[in-house]
Amino acid sequence: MSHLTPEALEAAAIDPSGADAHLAACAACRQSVRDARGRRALLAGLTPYTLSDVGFRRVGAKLAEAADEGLAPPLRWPWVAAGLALAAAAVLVLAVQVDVADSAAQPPVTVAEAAPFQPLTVVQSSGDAQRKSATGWGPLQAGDVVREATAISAT
Amino acid sequence: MRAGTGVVERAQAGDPAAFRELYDAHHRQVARQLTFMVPRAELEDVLQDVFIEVFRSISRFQGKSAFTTWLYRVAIHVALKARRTHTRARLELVDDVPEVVDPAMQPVEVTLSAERQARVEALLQAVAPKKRAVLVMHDLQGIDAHTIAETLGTNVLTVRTRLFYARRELEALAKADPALAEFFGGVP
Repeated sequence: MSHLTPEALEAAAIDPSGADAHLAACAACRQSVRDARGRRALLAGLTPYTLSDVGFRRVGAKLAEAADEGLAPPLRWPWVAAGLALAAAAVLVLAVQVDVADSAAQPPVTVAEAAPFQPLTVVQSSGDAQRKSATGWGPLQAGDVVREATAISAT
Repeated sequence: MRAGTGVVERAQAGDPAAFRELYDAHHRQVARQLTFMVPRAELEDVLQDVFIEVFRSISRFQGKSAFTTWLYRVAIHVALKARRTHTRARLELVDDVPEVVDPAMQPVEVTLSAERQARVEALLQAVAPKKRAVLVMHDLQGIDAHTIAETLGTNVLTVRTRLFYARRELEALAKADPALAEFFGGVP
């Protein structure tokens, strides 16, 4: 079963006689007509609102001021947003410049000097430990003093 | 009050006095057109925005339609774009006698109580702006679908579709409101 068109529903909400036969058979359209009737009653019961004379004069005064000033762009969200964007860009540029300046002022990194080599006295030596001397490799024994550039070998 | 002849041309030339004349001649009508389009607390701000937009874009009015038609189009478009949270509560209201705006509607038998009026106004604002505009223009201001289509820059089919869904949406919202359910056969 096809239903009433929107236009037919509205007409039935005003005067259902033209759709009696269909409405008698179609519960959905009966409900739609009831809803349309309720909606129409609600809207018909509304009282329009408007501004008071004071409100109209207030608007008129603001417009007259704007007209006298050559209708400068109103401070509305697009302009506020543009101003904020400009300020943000300025802050960003300033922050980058400060960062670059900070980098240039940093003190150079110094490398710590190597501690001077101190001779080592062998306390205990394993059986296969050896040291190299001018004459070649020889056993490394407890009590030997190992000086800078002395090669030793041990497992 | 009607603006004098040539006032539009003088406004287009930037004459501040002409702008004031246009406002004086049309502000009440524009306010009526904005009723129910925007919340009552925002009516003053939106009215101001409408005339600011009129002043800024009046050079684009070419006289192909009546100035009032063009003005109405500007008002609706400004109302549709209005996005603000009202921060002022100094709106002073005057209750107008309801105009008979839709000849097809039944005579008003019951004027809504203040509470119900507020609830219905809130429900209207809950409907999406484009659908609300069509609903207000058609069902409350009695404007035909063809004129609405021209005003909104769309076609009649779109207007009828939006009207259909706006009505269904308003009905669903109202039926869910305990204070309004009795209008739909529900228990108050």
